[in-house]
Amino acid sequence: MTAPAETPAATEDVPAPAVPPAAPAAVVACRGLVKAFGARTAVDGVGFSIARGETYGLLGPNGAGKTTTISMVCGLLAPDAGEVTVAGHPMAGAALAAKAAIGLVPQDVALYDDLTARENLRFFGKLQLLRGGSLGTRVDAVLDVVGLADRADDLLGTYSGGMKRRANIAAGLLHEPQLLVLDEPTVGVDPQSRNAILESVEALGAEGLSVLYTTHYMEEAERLCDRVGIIDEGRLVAEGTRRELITRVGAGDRIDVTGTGDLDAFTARVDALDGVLGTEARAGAVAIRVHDAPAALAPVVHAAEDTGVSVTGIEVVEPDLEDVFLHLTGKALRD
Amino acid sequence: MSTPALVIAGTELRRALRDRSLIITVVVGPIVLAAIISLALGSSSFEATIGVVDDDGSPLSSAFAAGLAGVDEDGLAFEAIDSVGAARRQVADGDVDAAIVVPSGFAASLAGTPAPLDVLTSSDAVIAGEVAQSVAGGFAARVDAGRLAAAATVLRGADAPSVDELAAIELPVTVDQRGTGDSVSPAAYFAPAMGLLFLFFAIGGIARSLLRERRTGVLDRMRVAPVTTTDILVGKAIFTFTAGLLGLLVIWAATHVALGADWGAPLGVVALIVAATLAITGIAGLIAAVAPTEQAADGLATGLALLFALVGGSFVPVEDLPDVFGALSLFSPNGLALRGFTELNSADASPVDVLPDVLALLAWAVVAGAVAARRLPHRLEAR
Repeated sequence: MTAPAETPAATEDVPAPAVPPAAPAAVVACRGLVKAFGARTAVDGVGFSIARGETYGLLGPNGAGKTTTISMVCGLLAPDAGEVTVAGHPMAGAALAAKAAIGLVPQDVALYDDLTARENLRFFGKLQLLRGGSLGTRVDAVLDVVGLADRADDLLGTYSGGMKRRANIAAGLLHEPQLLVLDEPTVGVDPQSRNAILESVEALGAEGLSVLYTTHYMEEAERLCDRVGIIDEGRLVAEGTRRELITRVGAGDRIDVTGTGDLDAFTARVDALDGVLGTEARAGAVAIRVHDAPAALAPVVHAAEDTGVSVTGIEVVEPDLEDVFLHLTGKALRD
Repeated sequence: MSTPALVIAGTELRRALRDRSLIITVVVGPIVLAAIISLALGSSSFEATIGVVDDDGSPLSSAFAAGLAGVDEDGLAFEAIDSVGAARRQVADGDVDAAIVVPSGFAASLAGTPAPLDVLTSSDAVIAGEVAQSVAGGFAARVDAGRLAAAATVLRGADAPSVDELAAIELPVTVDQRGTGDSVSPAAYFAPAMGLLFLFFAIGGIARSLLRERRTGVLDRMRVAPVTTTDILVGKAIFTFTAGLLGLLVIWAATHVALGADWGAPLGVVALIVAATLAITGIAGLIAAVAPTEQAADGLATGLALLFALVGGSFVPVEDLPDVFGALSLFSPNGLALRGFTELNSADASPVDVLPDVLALLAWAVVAGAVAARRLPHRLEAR
């Protein structure tokens, strides 16, 4: 019997193969979602995944397909094609288990005005199969989270709009879902209440809850979301972090220089600088697109000095998702 | 029975009991209306005084008038009046409800062209006028029978009997007011009639609320829970049936206690109430299934409520309507139920007598419910 060949041991000259980091488990994965209503295709091949603890934004204008998409994710609408998996359960085959992981906050206040907040929450809690002491405990807990504990026994019809919205969120949290789905929760809400809602969502995300948040407000997506999917006319046109999206489309920062003097010469000098993507002359000003505004600021100022331009104002404008959307779709996010 | 369905039904019931307008619509309104109608129509038994004027004075007419004077039936009396003028005055003044006049020369006219009997009536006592007409017609028929007998005698070659000889033949005038028992006190008739009418009004609100919950996302919130669309619909149906049943039972009890209304044998009454409520529950689902908007649901429910009430006899008993309504009422849940309640008040009525009406109402429930069960899930799930 011969001895087995020895396995060559790793040495300092031969690095051990790198082990890729474990991908975070997705709480939601959807692929190739299609939904048509008659001749109109509302959602056309949308797919994305949301990792545990991630806040994912679906950003798009009205009619883009956001609500239809999340309806399919929540199992409220059967897709014509594609599949949805929530917490490892396929929506098509194990809908009840998949839905049990979802907390939905609809766009309208989906509660009864003629019941108190507590009664509303107890009703929906019972539908989520909460009972007895655990039901009472969860109701009290979510009322605390949204700051409505002291008004819990007042009829919802006596609440302000903002308070109703908070109660709306509370109902989605009752059964401690793995994924909270919010469909444009700040539409029609006053600024103070809107801020309160956003703070609540931020806090929930910070606690590790996965969130799917749809909106047509760029600033909400930028504030809340780890990643954003831009949706337009039923298609997911781009996806990534804010910085990735901006970089991907090459939007770049913008430096607006206002001044007097030979602006043409200044513009020509700036065009030749490294990192400058382009310039645009305006009345008494020059808009300069650059890769990185902080790095380009000093050379731009020097260029002004060299060409004798007297600078009266400099403004650095970072691109936002609105710019990304405009770049990708050719239209504004909001009318 | 699924727990979610019971949870939904229980919450709906709590909301309904908190909604005073619904309680007024389903319970208070019908009781008040039944009481008002009952007071307006008074006793269910028929009472009339009919005057008799014997202007002829012949043995024939005297026998007729004397015979009527001897009538002693509950609520029906005949009173001799001296003259036609006095009879007209008394009918106009309401001292008598109608009057029969045997004109002067009546008996003598039988040998040739008989003079007609006159019946004086008042628009304030239509039924009494009908009774007087009937009595006069009965007497006229008997007289005609006598004339035919006389003519036959002549044809055989015998002498025709004289008027006095004819009059000597006793033609007993009898008036029998036979009660078939098909009379229901106004309270016992209009209490269920109004109850069913108002329940139909209420189902518009129930159908509207279902469509509103679809619009506002409440249904979506339920459906994201471990709750099926079937659970939701069953829960809503349980609530609708329970609310309707409680409403009608309360009306039954209240009108029995407060107005002395006797709806009939309890078993039959319960069977009719349950069947009618099931029918109305099915129709509520049908309305929610076909109405495109909440406002349309309201309009459809109101329209059906009025249509079924009109043809079913909720406002005017079917027997007092043109004959065609008798057939039409069979297609109305109101008509079927009221027919059953009327039958329960018949002499020797038993609960089994209302079985055809109960089965017809259950057919309404099955058909309407089947259409609703088929269409509603798609409507509620559609975007």
